[in-house]
Amino acid sequence: MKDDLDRLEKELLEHPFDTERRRTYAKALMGAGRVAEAGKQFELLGEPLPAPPSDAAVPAASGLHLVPADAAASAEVEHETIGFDDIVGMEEVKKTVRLRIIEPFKNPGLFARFRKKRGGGVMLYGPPGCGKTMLARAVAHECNATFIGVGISEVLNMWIGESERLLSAFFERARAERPAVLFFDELDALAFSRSKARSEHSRTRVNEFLAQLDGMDADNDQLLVLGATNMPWDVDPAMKRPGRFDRQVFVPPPDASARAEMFRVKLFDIPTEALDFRRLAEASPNASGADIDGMIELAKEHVLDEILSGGTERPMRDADLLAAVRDTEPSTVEWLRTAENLVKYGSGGGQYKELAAFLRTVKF
Amino acid sequence: MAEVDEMNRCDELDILQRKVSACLDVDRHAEARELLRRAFEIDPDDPGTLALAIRFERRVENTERALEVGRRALAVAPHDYETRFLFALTLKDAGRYPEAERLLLQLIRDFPDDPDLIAYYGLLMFYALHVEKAEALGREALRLDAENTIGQLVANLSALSRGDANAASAALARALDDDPDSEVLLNQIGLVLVEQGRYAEALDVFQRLLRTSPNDEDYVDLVIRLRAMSHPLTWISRTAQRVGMVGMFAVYVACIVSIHQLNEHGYTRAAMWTAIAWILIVVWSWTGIQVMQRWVRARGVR
Repeated sequence: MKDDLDRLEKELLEHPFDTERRRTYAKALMGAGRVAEAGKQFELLGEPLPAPPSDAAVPAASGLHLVPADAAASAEVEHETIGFDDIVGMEEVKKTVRLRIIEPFKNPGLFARFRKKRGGGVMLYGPPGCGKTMLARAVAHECNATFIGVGISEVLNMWIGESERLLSAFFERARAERPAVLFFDELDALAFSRSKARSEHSRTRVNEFLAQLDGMDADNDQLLVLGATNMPWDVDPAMKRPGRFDRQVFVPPPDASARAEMFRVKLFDIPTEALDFRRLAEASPNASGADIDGMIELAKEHVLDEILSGGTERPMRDADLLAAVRDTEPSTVEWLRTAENLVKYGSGGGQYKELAAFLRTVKF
Repeated sequence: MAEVDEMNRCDELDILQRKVSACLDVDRHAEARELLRRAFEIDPDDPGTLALAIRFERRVENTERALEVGRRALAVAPHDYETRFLFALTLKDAGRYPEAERLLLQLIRDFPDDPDLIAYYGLLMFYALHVEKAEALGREALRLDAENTIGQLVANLSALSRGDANAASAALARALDDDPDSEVLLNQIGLVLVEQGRYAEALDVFQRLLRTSPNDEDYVDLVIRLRAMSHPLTWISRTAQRVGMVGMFAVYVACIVSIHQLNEHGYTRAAMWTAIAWILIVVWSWTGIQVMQRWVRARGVR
């Protein structure tokens, strides 16, 4: 199994755009129990993470699951690219993204008259597991553009000595497929602040990235470069200058109505009593989509444990889910505390206005 | 066939090690941990992997574990430069200065022209409060490599500790010309500004550092303290700190004499109000900075 995984990883390094190879690799990762890595690969493919094997107690680490669990379990089914309508909640973010990213693509004439270039870079930032990657895919779908995703495994491969060539190849491929969305997941890993980097190699990589973004030797018109990061403060400041990732969009944890909807969708085909989704949502403030996956898995384990020890089969109840919610610390809290340090004590509110406004409205 | 397998294994280990190194370079600790686990599965006794594991444990500030891995690494590769160097630094982290010194001296005997070794030895001496020796070692490291960051750090810390903030400031200004974004240098500049009593400017510097590392609670505490120190309401506390114990004692005596004199000449009310004001000032000078720190922590820095 391990040898197969290594072989598939090497093949993917050689053929980063081969979706079939990526799908095979993702499934192999899933089979090996490396669910988080598999989740990233499936996100890049635009496919939901299949249900984990029944003996794997690892909660899914991907963002939102928007299809019922039985459909998600069928990895052979080709799924449509995710659009905005498939994303639960995030209404404000969707509105911002539509206005600032999608419309320039959809109305080229209008933007041409105003001599405004289409494309450029947008950085999506926010706590982990809140749907940044899914949002990026939806942007590509809404723009009717080709989506090319660069995940952490590509970045890791770039670190073994061919970063400049691979980075350039990704940009070339995206330019050839215009209009295209080139999406860099975990942007901070690739564009780590040069003032913090400990090796010359990191600096060279950032310089190459900057040159590609600036389109020094090529035309980046109709090329939208999206980046997602949990740690925007680790991204090199030069990356955020005009013409690069100068537009930054905060992707917050889902609000109460979005959480209620997520519980509803994720429990769609699970045997349950009539559940009070609003109450569940209120009991799980700041929980991300990934956290809700974890909570549901925990509740399932509790119910199955009871059935297997007691002998009587019963559906899942509010109490099972509420107990799971109580036992789960939202993974966003640590991120929110760090972000609070930035805004409250570091005077970072000017640069991160949406984040500062959000922090004023939440308790954690 | 066995040879081919061995070559593949070596290639894979090499790739994993390079990835771990890169992960550590950009603070991706979770990925580094997973890659290290995979590297150890291939060869649990590989000196390169063990050295990376020491780096990883030091980076996540797990000194005990770093020492444990370091001992294992030294047992496998007792003469490996990197292993010995990292183990010496881990001993320093653990506060075991004599053992760290012994190991660094052995390394310096083997590699006498290595500026890093000399600079780190200087830093160790600084921690052990041998400031003059630290300064000399810092100078020697800079003689071998004028841009050695640790050498500069030792030289500046030494200058600061003997109260020569101006010398440190001038050296830092020169270094900053070469590397204006360096966080290490900014950190030192902040320390120099604090030493010079320029709290508002130091606050700017540390806020800038906090913006790049908001998860660093040390920066948060420092920013809160500096905001409290630079607030106009803590002027009395700052003055009290500046004049020191002897100065404050002299002021106390002068005030008691004044109150006594006012009372003697029949200005009883004036003496009373002066006494009350004086008591309030004294109490505020003792507690003002702490009160302000709590205020700033609750409200934030604006």
